[in-house]
Amino acid sequence: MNRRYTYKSFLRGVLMVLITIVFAIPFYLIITNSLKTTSETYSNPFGLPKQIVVDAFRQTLSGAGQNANFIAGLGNSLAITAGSIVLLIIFGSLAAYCLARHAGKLSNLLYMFFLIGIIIPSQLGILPMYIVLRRVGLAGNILGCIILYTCKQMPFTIFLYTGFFRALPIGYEEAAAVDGSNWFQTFWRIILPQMNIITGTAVLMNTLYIWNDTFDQLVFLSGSKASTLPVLIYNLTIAITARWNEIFAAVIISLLPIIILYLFTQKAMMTSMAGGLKG
Amino acid sequence: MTSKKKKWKGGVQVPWYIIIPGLVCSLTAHFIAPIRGAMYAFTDFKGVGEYNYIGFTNFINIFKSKADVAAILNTFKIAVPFVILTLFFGLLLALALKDVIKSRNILRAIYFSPVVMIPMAVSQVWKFIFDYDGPLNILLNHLGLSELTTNWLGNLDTAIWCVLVVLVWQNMGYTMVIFNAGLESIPTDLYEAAAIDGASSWKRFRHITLPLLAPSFTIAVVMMTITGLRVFDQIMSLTGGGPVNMTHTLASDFYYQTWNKFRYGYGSALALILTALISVIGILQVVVLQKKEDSVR
Repeated sequence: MNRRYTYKSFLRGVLMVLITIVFAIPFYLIITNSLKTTSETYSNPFGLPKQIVVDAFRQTLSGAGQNANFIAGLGNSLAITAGSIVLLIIFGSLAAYCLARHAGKLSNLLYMFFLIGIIIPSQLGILPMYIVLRRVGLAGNILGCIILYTCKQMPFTIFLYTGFFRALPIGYEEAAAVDGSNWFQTFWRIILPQMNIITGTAVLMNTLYIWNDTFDQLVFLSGSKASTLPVLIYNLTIAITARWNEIFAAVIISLLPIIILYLFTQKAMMTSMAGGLKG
Repeated sequence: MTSKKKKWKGGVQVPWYIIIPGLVCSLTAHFIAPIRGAMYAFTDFKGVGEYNYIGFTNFINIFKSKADVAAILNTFKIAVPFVILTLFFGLLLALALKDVIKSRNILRAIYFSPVVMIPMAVSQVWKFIFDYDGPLNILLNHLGLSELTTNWLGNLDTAIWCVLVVLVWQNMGYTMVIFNAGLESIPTDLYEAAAIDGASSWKRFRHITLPLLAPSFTIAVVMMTITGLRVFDQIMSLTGGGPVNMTHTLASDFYYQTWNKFRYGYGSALALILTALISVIGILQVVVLQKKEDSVR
């Protein structure tokens, strides 16, 4: 099976290289064209830049003349993602721990409810949540978005944790109780640290969902000071259609954080997603 | 000992109230809010002021409107080939990478990378590629195929298929890792035994790989169908629903009607159709595919 250098495997190698090149062309176009002048993106879209110019990046970072502050956008995206995830991990793990340690009909019913919450799409609930949060002044606001995502991603997070808590032997709690530890100390010092892998999965999957989501952020943040990266990109492309070098500079700036995260966690991201659960 | 264990499982030690924040959040977003949304679907709510319950009027108007019917049809036009193509290419990539040893990890990382990127951002490069003055038309002109050039995203015959290309490109890495995981779980001695018995590589694929990949197919079909039905970002970034509002999907039409035209009731009716569609198809798929999975085994 492992005869390595037959002509068949050589052909397959060539084919794989070709497929990969075609697949990667969009990335090549983004990077090279972000370093050209606008007119060169039209006269020479395929080639390397005749002369590397970083004007597009300077334009984008200074607001692109469109009041689109990408540094602030980066901060907003980061604040919303981080804030939601902290709440999701705390409340999600507590709820799951409760479910796992209270066996019974009600517990199973709630477990099913959380599962259904994952399957059924949440679009229908966006408008009512938007109306309520707008009424209390939380639309167009980072806190409002954190509340929204915490609510939306909660069943997924609880579901993720519950199975693992259930599989954890009760002996840990027994031993801790003998030592006089109360439920919270046991949970915080002994139980949760054993969940590091699943906490990592929950953090990664929720990060990908929240960071990349456009729909809710357009609804809640359009035109506000709290605009996130997807919202800024959307507004920018409407404002400066066809200035591709600037658009691509913005694209690169907004993709950079997730690409850096991807470089360090790609294996974990792939295995989490391969399980077939998505928020 | 057993009685003590029972006492633990009975949950004396873990207080019940720690479930409250998580439960309230979930109930709000996945139960109370959607029901409220479903109720809006039967009203003429415009966002401000009073509203009346108007029965199925919104739904009747949706089916009378050319653009909204197009949105429903587009949803399927995208979702069906999307599922087929992502499964096909994902399986192809996973199989191709199975025996590649040296560069497997780097290739896998490249193919999966679009999955983690903001769709609104990466789709911009495809808008550039499909632009009338863009790389695709330039390439076609160079190849002497200038009669094929068109305004790809502004042409009703091509716009939806361009969106499909972008979607498949961004998601085939996702199905690839699902099939990767499936392939890795197949024990190699099965192949060795089959090879000793003289089974051709097609036969090994047909009788070992495919049946044992059944669980992966289930996951991939369900995930891709749900992704394919709720396409939004790519529509917003590539066509914006145009030309003449004929390239919307249900999700983007819901956004457009609700937040651009402030027809809260009408938009909610579109969202209700989308939700019903995804829920029914999602549940049906899980049931049907799981049965099939069992019978293949």
